[in-house]
Amino acid sequence: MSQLNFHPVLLRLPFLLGGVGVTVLIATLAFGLGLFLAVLLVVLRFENKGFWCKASRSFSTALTNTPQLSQIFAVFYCLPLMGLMVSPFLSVVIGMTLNAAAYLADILGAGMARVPPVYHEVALTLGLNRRQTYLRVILPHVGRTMFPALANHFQIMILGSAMASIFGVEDLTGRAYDIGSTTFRILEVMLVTGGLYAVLSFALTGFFVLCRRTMERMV
Amino acid sequence: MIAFSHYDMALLLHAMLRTIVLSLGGGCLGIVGAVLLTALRLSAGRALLPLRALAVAYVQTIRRVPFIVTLYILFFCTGMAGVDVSATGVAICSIGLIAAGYLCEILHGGINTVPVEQVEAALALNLPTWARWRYVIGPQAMSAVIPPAVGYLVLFIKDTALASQIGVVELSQAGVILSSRGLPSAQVFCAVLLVYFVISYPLTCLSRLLEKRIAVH
Amino acid sequence: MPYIDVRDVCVRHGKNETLGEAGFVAERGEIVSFIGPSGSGKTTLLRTLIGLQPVVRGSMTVDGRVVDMSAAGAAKILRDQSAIVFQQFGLFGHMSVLRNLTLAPTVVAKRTRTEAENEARGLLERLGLGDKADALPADLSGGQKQRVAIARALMLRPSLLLLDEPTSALDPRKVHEVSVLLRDLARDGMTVVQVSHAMSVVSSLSDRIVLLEEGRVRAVGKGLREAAQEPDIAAFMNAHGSDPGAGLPVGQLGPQQ
Repeated sequence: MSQLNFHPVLLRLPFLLGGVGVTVLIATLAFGLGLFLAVLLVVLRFENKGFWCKASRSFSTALTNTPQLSQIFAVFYCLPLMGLMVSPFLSVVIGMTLNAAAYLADILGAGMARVPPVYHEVALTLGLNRRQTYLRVILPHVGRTMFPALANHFQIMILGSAMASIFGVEDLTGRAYDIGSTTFRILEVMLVTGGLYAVLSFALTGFFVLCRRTMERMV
Repeated sequence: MIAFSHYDMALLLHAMLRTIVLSLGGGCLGIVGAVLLTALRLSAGRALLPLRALAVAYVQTIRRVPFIVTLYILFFCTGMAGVDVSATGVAICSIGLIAAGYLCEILHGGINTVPVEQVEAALALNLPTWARWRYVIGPQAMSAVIPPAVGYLVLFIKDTALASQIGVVELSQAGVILSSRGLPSAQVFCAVLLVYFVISYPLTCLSRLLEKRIAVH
Repeated sequence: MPYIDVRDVCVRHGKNETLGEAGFVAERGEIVSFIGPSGSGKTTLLRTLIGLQPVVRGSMTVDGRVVDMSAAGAAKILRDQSAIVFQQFGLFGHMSVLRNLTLAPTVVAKRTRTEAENEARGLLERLGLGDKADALPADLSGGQKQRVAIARALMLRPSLLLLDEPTSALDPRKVHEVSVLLRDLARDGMTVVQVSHAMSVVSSLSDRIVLLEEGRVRAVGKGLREAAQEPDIAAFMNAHGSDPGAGLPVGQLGPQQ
């Protein structure tokens, strides 16, 4: 067995570390956009009992039962057919956004089901309209109760964003693959990369714990 | 309407089987690994402390590394060590390694939900260790373990798609191959997504059913 | 020589000593009650008797057989002769009442399932639970659960029966039924040790009262009726809501049911 040699990898560490930023950017973009879509989806579910409710549920069922990778492939190969030329980065973000929207809508839905019914009544008696009720009362409550689940999904998305490398995006894994193919030290670079993901994930866990404490203090 | 030839269908079917093999193999390996890891984490005694710490560190770390990175590490590791394992074997091992971490966390959490007084009652009845696990702790922990474990395995079936990256021809790779054979991309990817859905959806329903049936008590 | 002789039991929780040199003796067929303020170590002492509490040192003699309670294999020996009824009963929620009763006899004592089930059904019948054999613990009332827990303990044929607050979950009528049962068991030669806060039960039932305070035995009163006359014990019982002289032996209470 040949010896492990980390030297060439360490020389390119700054380049690799830059990939962490891209990874966080992809996950954050997809999470933010996905959350926005998820709010729309979940409001549809609760405000409409007919077609739109079913459509919103079917969207989640379809996207949570198929792999994110295949979804991104579908976006990557099919958007050009519709005459839309998008960059790999954008394809990945679009694919991950749709996937995240499906999962996040399910999480928010579970949170909505747990909102005490009296909240709706209180909001009515206070004279808030539907939009205000959702924005000022319901969603903040759901956000708070479902924070752990949402934070957990963000962590899953950080790990999931490694798929971007398959489409040639220079995220952490993508850069690692680049370094591997130029230095022929792919095992070493992947070991370092795995470590970086773990560190990033631990840091995020700490960050979310802090967020939660701050939130509790604000209550 | 669908322009798939008989060869294309064969490829798709073959790929579907491969996806199932990956999921089943990785899942079984993961269950065995999770049981071993959990046994280590629950072990008593100072002598086993380093092993216990190692088990906790493993469980905490493996769940924080993307599947694709683990897959590459194992793939190039076996390559460098000169071990002759098929890509499918490497993929099953990676899935097993990761699943062991997640399932260990679920199992450990489930066992912790069994109230101390139940264990003490079993001790006071003088039940030997095997009987405590077989009759008292096991059955009660299972209600907290099985629904999330099935839920997790359902999630994992979809992650097997990444095995394509080390050359395993599973479903999503079959899609890419068919697409590059000149078949219409939209149809190919719809077909691939549909096959995944057919595998995954019944299991999702099962996990929801289990959650309602078991987790209530 | 007393039938049961517990000596010098020390239990530490972290740096604190929760029991220090605690002990008591009892004759065969006696009912012993542990009383004392909360945190005095009553339940801890009870748990040491069945090896649920790691002890620093202590010994227990049962029927002339000495057990070093701090030795590695002590718990198993202690559990061979004792059975316990927990305050929260500790019934296995996923098993029928019958299986709760037959589990230990079939698994530990290797008795046949049929034999164990027959005995269990007889016992349930005797405790007025004949129709509950196939019920799950969750479907029972507090009093029924407790009788099932007692039946499960009796299936082990213990020479020493331990009870943690046996009457805390019961209404007065049920309290009386349990008292009668314990008295009957004691008459048949079983030694009973209970922890109790119900002073009326303590004074009417106990052959021996052990007052614990801060992990030590403060006083011991002996003999039915007289036990509660020991000055320290009388003072404690008075302060905790009972006229110690008023307790009558169970047999003298009015007709049952």
